[in-house]
Formats: sequence, structure tokens, C-alpha cells
Amino acid sequence: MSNSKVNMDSIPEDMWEKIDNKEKESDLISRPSLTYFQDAWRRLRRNIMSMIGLVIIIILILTAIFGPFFSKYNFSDQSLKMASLPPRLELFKIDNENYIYLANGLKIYSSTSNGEIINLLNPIKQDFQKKIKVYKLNGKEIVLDFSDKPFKLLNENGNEYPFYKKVWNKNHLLGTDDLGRDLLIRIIYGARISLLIAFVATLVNFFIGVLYGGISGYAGGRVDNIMMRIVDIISTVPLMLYVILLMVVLKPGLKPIIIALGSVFWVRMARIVRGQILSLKEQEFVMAARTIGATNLRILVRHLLPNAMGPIIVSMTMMIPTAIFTEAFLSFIGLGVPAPLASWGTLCNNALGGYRSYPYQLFLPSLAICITMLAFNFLGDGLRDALDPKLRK
Amino acid sequence: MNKDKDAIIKVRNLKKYFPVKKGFLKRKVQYVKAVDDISFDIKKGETFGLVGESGCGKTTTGRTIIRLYDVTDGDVIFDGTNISNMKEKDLSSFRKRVQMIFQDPFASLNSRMTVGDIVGEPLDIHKLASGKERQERIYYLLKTVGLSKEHASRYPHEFSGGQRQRIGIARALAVDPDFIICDEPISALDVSIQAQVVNMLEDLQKELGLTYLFIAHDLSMVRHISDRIAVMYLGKIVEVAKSEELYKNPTHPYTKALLSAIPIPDPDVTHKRESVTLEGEVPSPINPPKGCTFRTRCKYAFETCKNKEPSMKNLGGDHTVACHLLDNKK
Amino acid sequence: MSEKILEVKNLKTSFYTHLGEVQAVRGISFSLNKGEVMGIVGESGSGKSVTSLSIMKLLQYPGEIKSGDIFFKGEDIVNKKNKEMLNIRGNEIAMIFQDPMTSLNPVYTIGDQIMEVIIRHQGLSKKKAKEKAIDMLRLVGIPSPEERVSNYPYEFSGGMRQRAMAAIALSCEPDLLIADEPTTALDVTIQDQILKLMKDLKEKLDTSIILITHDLGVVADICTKIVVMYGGLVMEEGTSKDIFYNPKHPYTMGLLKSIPRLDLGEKKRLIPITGTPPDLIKPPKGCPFTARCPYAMKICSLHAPKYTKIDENHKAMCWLLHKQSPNMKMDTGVKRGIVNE
Repeated sequence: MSNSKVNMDSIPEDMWEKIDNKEKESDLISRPSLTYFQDAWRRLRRNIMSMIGLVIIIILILTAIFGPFFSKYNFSDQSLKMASLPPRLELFKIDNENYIYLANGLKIYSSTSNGEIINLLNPIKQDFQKKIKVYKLNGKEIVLDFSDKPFKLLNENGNEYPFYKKVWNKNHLLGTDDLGRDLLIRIIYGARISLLIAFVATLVNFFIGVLYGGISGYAGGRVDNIMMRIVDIISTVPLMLYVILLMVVLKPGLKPIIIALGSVFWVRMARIVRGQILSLKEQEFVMAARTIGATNLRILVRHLLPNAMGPIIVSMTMMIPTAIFTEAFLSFIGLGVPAPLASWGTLCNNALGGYRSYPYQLFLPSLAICITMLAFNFLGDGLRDALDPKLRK
Repeated sequence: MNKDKDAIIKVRNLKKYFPVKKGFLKRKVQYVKAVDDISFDIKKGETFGLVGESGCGKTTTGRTIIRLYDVTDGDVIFDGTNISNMKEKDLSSFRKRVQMIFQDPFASLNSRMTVGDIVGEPLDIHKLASGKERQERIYYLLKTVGLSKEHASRYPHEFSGGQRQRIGIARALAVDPDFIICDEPISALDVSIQAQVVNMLEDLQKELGLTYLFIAHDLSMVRHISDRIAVMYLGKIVEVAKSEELYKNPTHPYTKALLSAIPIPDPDVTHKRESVTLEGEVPSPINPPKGCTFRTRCKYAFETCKNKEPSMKNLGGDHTVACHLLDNKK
Repeated sequence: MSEKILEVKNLKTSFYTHLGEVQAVRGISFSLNKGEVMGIVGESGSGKSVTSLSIMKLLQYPGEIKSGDIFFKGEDIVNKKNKEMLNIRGNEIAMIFQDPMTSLNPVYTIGDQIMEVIIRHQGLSKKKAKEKAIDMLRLVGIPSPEERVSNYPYEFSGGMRQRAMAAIALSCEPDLLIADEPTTALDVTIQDQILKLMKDLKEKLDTSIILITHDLGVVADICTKIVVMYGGLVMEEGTSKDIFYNPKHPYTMGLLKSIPRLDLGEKKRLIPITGTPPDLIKPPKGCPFTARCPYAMKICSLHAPKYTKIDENHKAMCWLLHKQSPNMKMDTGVKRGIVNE
């Protein structure tokens, strides 16, 4: 510290002038003002995994909302001709303009060289003894020989058409389902349904849980005792069983699912909120609020809940993937949204029948579920670290 | 009774027991006798000190008087009105006149509210001011405690302990109270800051004619700020006297021990003075000793102390003591 | 005769936070002789606790010793690895912390926790270690130690826990004991007991002690030497008589003025030190006390003063002690009590 560039032996006279005390603003705060949530956001930003999760969630929500506007298909448009087309097509070359795609089930589609399906070809002749089908495309005869695997495509001279290449399906980026509906739009619609159910159910849980836990914790004593025993009893009922029974009683649809999920998962939220409130209500700032005459409602809403918000937000974030999963599970076992509405669970269920021939129909919605759940879990983990008061300095 | 007229608050045989619940049915099996039958008066404009070790019930006394806790038994008469059994909704006018300053400057301010909102909350609750008037009042209150209006939009965690304690004082002053209970307002602060806060409290008392109940375990600060001091031990008041008198002529053995335990920042004095080290620790308030509660640590204890609870005796000049030794001397 | 047990030279410790580098300790030097009791006095944020953690090498992330040397018994421990420190910590340097409620492990008995240290450092058998643990508890004044040795911390009161902490700290007869605000969380009567205990132990075991506190009253009684810290720097250093009867730094004077004296009959208004301590992310260029100093001059805010030696043991860092400085009338805050001979 003694690196000051003054000559210790002769210091200029003016240096010895007294400074006025009033000029010295010592109560001034020089650090930038950060609210609790700004501070938490700063910490969350440094957590790479959470930020990835957050970005995925934002993209997901935007796609779910705006995605359908950019698609030429509707989620319920059926086209049996175009049923079960995969996202990758293996093309055979007929001539420079004409290519064909040989689908499962001995179906042949004409296509462009870059993977745009033009039409399903109808055979002009079929011979089941010889196991051949004859098609005509652009004046050329195409013979499908399915007597032996691999199936061959021959021209009229018996020469094989050459395998051209594998291309992406340009009509349906992620292929179609067994009724020829575009899978991409169905997954996007599925995201709408799944996220909607998850958010609304979580919101319902949030309100019930915060209200119930808040009252229980703040009232304390006997009220708390009774309310918590009720929660104990509810939590002994296997949740999945209860939801299934509820879904059986109610008619399948969007509302019943939300009711079923919303009426079940608040138990955990109530416990978390109660615990927070119990530890907060003994703090001096709550006593201070009481000495200035604040009503119980005011204390709960203005003082206790804002301070309990951190753990509440974390558990909400963690609740969303659980709700998504439960909804998917219910839809999967056939208790979900009715057709033609699609959630990710119903998509998986639909794909189950033909998953050997068309694995992409099962794989893609499952992937959507996985990515979403991971994203929410990463975000939740990051939020836990960012909002945990014990780590705050 | 001219003397009674002057008293802003009269505490009579105040008891506060906390039930200890046990078992599944939460039956009340025992009681923690935090405050056990204490009486005192505080006169208008004076500072009444309340000292004792942790667990002696001094904080509980303060919180019971301001009705943060329900009164188990006894009366608290504030300005002629008995508030000990009033319902919360009837206490509104009492809450406007009696305020509290808390011990922990970090826990006593809601960290999610701005300083302006914290100081302004009493104004909202009692509908004392709104809009521009409220803003002006908040700035005025902050100025009173030595902060500026720029501080109103900041959050409590940006302030130091001393500044936070001043924010707490500003909140207490918002309703323009007559009586403030200071619950160890300086014990969490640094020495250099303690004097700031104590001086501020003294100035405010002069300006606004406040009455204080000053609760602390630090006898030297209490003596400095108080006109009269009550010494508490295990839920009971053992000695009350004017602060000079208490220091010059401590009579109860506990007061003597407490005084001699205070370190004196003067090496020569502290090396020479004979000290009475108090052995042992405070017994549990669930099962306080029979007779005189202090007898287990008192080296003068004799047979009577075991059987009979000493009553308060007036030694004249507002000095009262509860100790059997006084009878013995006679 | 006086052998130096600890010498700290130009120690700088910083914490690297998102807001910037917090320079908690900004170049402090002091030394401690064997058998000496030194007090480090300062308010929160002065760097006194960080100093003790630096000596123990117990700094937690993001704290780091930036530069300087710490010689313990002639050996520089700044660059010692954690493994080597394990043999020094608890054995040669021991520490007592502020909060007796959290510094003991609640799931082990008091005896186990004392025995752990003894077995680790002295290699005694379990039986011998237990005997020693009981002896230690007796030494620190815990009644019926034979029974108390198998108690858990929750069965001890605050004062007893602090005694138990002292028993753990002293069980290996360390050469240096660092007590970081050992009595701040305790009541005055218990504080009195603990301070007496420390005095007794010093006499019995001849341990050197560093007592860190913000309370001048505590150091007056047992310390022979006092270091006054402010803003990460040592403001003044001297014997306890120097500090209490001949303070040279306005901060020391300010501290003396701001505490009420119980023993003196007077009831004068206290003279507080105005303002708040500096933010050590951006420490002031000159003397850190300038903003709160009643005698601050232009030079104070621009250049950091050097130490001026008043006599052999007494030095202070203040421009007022410079030979060119104007003679100012100062209230030194010295109050001499009446000594009853």
C-alpha cells in the first residue's frame, strides 16, 4: 500500500488542509442495485446446462404456438394414400425426371429426385402367381418383382432399375402416420396439448398448494395438525391409480386430464410451502409486520409468500415434467385426449401397432417427451442452485 | 396518586407461559415459565432498561407487552387502557402508538421489499398517507434516521447492519408512536456503529418525546441510555433502580455478579478489580428452582431461599430488590 | 528470550466474487512471541477473521492468499500443501470459533470429538485418549467430566459448548491458539467465565493466543499486545497500555470514545464514528479511514500513510504522525478509571 509517489520528506503545504466532513458521503452505496430475482438470474445464467434447458423450453413453446402457421398440413388431415411414409426415402431412378420410392406394403410412389412424392402409382397388371406387379410411369413400364427378398424393380427388358440414393422426405419432414397425417404437425400439436396440460395442471397445483400450505403453516397449531394429516391421508393413495380411476369416471378430454392432474400433485407443493412458512413466520420481519398492525392476509401475501417463492418456483419447474410424463402415460394407455387431438402419449400409442415396420412413428414423439423432460429438469436444477438462500452470500 | 398518572404503561403481575407439548395428541404437559409474575411502571418520556442473560425472559416480556404473544395472566395497561385481553382487531389504535425495534437487522426487514415500501407499510396499513404525501413522508422518515431518498428504491441486503437498524427505526417512527420497545437494538452491531444508533435513539427521544423500553444484555449500554433499570433473572425481576443507583449500590447478588462480569476497556482497572465470577448457568425455566430462583448460583444462599420466594422490598428512592438477604441483615 | 512463534509479513488475502475482487486483507504484518496474548480488534469487514483463516489456511473458495508470508515457528506455511497443514492444524495451531452452537458436530459425543483430535495427532490408544479427554474437560471446568464425556453437543449449553471447543482446541497442547470472537455469542457472565478460563489455560500451558474480537473491553483484560485493524489494514499496533492510554490513530481514539464506561460515574453523550466502513471491492486510494475520520486532510484521501514508530512496540499508520503535519487538537478518548489499590 505504500507505493504512493510522494516524497515523504517534503509534502506540499496544501496537502495538509482539512477536508470538510460533509463532503464525504459515506452512506452512499456504490454497488449496483440487484433484486433477489436479478441476482438469481445472474447465477442461473452461469449454469450452462440450465441455459440449454431454458433455450430448448423457449423454442418448444414458440414452436408449439407458432409452428402450425408455417405448415401446409393440418393435424387432422388424413390422406390414406400417403400413409406411413418415413422421413427418409430410398429412391430408384427410372429416368432423369422420374424416380420412384418403394414403400412397405408393396406400394410404389413416383417422386422427384430430391424426395418430393408426386403420387401413389396404381398397378396396371398384377400377377400373384409370378409375384409381380406392373406399373406404368411416363410411358415406361415398371415391374415390381416381389418373389424374393430384396424386392426388385425391373424395366420391360428385365433389367433392374438402379438404386439412386437416400433422400429426405420433402412433403412430410418427419414422415406420416398410419392414416397419412403429417407427423411433424402432429408432434407440434402434441407439444401444444402436452405443454398446455402441464402448465395448467402445475398452475392449479400451485394455487391449491400455496393456499393450502400457506394457511396450514401460518395458522399453525391444531389447524396445521389437522390439515397436514389430511395431506398425509391423500398421499397414501397411489396417485396413478387415482388418476386412472378419475379418468375412467370422467369422459376423456382435455379438461378431465387437467382436473385429474391438478387435484393430485398439490400435496407436495402444500408440504413445501408449509415448511417454508413455518420457518419464516418466526422471523423478526413478520413480527415487525404484526406490530405495525398488518392483517394475517397481508402478512401471508406480502411478507411470507414472496420470501418462500424460491423453493416454490423450483418445485413448480420440477412438477412440469412430472405432469407431462403423467399425461403421456395416461394417453399412452388410452385415457388421454380423444382423437383426432394428439398428445405425445397418444402418438406413441398409435405407433405401437406398427412399430416394427415404422419405428420412427414411435421414436419421434418419445424423443420429444425425453427432450422436454430433460430440459425442464436441467432448468429446475439450475433454479434450485440459483434460488437457494443457503448458497446466497 | 400523581405517580400513576405519569406512567404511560403499567405492567401488573404479567405472566407468559409457553406450553411444552408432547405425544401424538400434543397434550400440554409442561410450561416454560418465560415471564413469571412481573410488575413495573414506565413513566412518560423515560427510558426503562431491562437487562438479563439470554433466556431470562426479557425479550418475551417485550413481545408480550406489544401483544406479539398472548398474555397468560396479568395486566398490561397502556395509557389507561388494559390491552392484555384485547382482540387483535381492537388493537389498531394501540399499534399506532406502540412500536418495536428488533434485534437482528438482517432478519427484521423483508428482503423482497424496497426500503421505501418497508418504511411506508405502516402508512398503508393505518391509511395515514398515500400517493405523493406518502412519498414525502417516507423521504422525511429516511432523512430523520440519516439516510437519503435515493435509498428508498434499494433493497435491504444492500445496506450494512447499522444502516438496516436505522431503517427499522424509521419504520417504527412511521406511525408517530409514543412508546417504543427496543429489543436489543444494538447487540448485533459493531461497537463504532452502536454509538451511532444509541445517539440517534437519544436524539429522537428528545425531539419526539418518546418513551423507551430498552431491552439488552449489555449492562454498560443500558446504563448509558436508561433512566431506570430492571434486572431480570429466570422470568422474574430481581432488582429495579435508577441507573446510577443500580451501578453504585447494586444490592441483589445477581446484579452484583452481572456488573462485575462486564469487561472494562481499561487495562489497569480491569487487572485490579476483584470480580465475582458467577458459577454455573441459568437453570431451565421449565422447572425453575423453588423459592428464590437464583439460589442455585448464589453463594449467599441460605435455608429460607429454598423455601420462600422473596418479595420485592423498597429500599427507598425507587430502588426495589427481591432478596432474602435484606431481611437477614435486619 | 522472546522467541517468535508467528510472523505475518505483508499478507494479502482476496475473495474473487462476481462483483470483483474483494481485498479483505491488504498487506498486514505483525508478529507474536511465545506465550504472548495478542488481541486483534476491528469491526466486521475489517479483515480480522480473514486474517485468522489465512493463518489456519482454512480459506474457502473464492478466498485466496494473494501474497505475503506467514512464518510459523520459523517455517513459511503459505505454500504448504493441505496434507502438511493437516499435521499443523489442531496439533500446533488450534482454533476456537465464534458460534458454539454450530462448531461442534451434533452426531458425535463431546468425548468422541476430543478423542478424534488426540488419536489423530498423538496416536494414543482409544482408552488413553478417553482418559485424556476427561482430563481436558476437567481442565476447562466442566463439572463431572466422567459422565459429560459421553454427552452429545445438544445436551450442553452455549457456555459449556464453548468450553468443550476449548477442550478440543487445547487437547494437543498447541503452540498457538486462535480464538475468533469466542465470547461474542455468549452472555456476559458466561463470557467472563470463558475469558477467565483462557487466562488460566495460558498460565498453565503457556500457549500463545490470538484473540480476535470487536470488543475493546475483552482485550483489555487478557491481552498484552493489541493490533487494531480497519479496512484490511493494521491501523495501530502496540501494548495494551499503548492502545488504551496513548492511542495515536484517530480510529483507535474513535473506538475508545464510542463505548460507554460503566465504571466512571459520568454519563456523557457517546461520540460515535460516523459513516460506515469502506467497500473493499473498491478500497479507497489513501487511508481507508479518511471518510470517517474527524481529522481527515487532503493528503489522507490521496496517499496511504506509512507506519510511524512511536516506540519499540508501538506503531501507527496515520498522516497526523508525520513530522510536517499540523498540530491538531484531538480528543484521544482516553478515560482512566480509578484503580483501587
